[in-house]
Amino acid sequence: MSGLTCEQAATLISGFMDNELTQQQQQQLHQHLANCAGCQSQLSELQQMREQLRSAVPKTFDAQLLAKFEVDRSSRWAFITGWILVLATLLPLVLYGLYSYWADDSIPVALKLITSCLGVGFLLLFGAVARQRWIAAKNDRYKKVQL
Amino acid sequence: MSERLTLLKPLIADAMTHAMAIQQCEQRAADSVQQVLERALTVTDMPSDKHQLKAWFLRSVHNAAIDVIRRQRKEQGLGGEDYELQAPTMIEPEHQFETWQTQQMVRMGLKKLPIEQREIIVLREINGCSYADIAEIMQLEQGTVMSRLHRARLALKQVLEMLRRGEK
Repeated sequence: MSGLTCEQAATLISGFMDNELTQQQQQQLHQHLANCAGCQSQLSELQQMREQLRSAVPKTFDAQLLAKFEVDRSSRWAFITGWILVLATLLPLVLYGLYSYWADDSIPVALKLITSCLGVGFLLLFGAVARQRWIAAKNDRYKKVQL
Repeated sequence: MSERLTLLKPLIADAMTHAMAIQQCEQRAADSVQQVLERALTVTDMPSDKHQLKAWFLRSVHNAAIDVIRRQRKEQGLGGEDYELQAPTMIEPEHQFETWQTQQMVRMGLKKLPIEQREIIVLREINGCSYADIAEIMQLEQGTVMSRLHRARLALKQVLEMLRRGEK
């Protein structure tokens, strides 16, 4: 096979630097380099540039990037179980409390109605505020800003 | 979920460097990587093979970062590869002045390259990706990676020579 021209060798120089040539391509390039000072210096200049590049571009990342995902496993587990236990026991207790309050004949019905309305009012207010906060949190453009 | 995070954690520095090569802004790059991480923790098609995972993860970063650039251009009407040069932010006092100067110049040279050339150089030289990986990440034909990379290297060399001459 005839030798390579400088133009053909040029691209192979990159392939050689990256260890991506076939054995045949490598041999052809070596033959060419042995007789071509221009391509030799091109190779060494590109290799030097690679060294400069590697020292100029640091490979780092901010640990904050991961902070969001790295919640400690056991505390996460405790958090979830805690919520489940609280909600699971609170609900029957509240229902039992409401039932026994309404079933108690010693309390006048008017008072029962008034206190119930108060309770429902509080629940509505709480629900409205919670909904507003939820919508605001979803559309917050600055939620990723770390202070 | 945290198993996935353990798998992805060693790749985050690569992803950050890659996103930086495209976006040239640390905050935006971090946003893109975070977005990709969030998605990676929920998708079902994440490969478990270590080698495939790197290409898959970096391809997602490529897509996310390019999306941001496109959106930015649409919003700001940016044409071509014209983005501002930032003042150097990294100063390493332990390095000699000359090394520091070369590093600054290389960084500046990289910034002057078109996004595609900067990306391919960083993927190869900094992130150590193979040609097959680069083809997958940048969605190129494998046969064109070598010549594109070579052209990018020559372009960088030319820019660096220009900067050097300008300095003298």
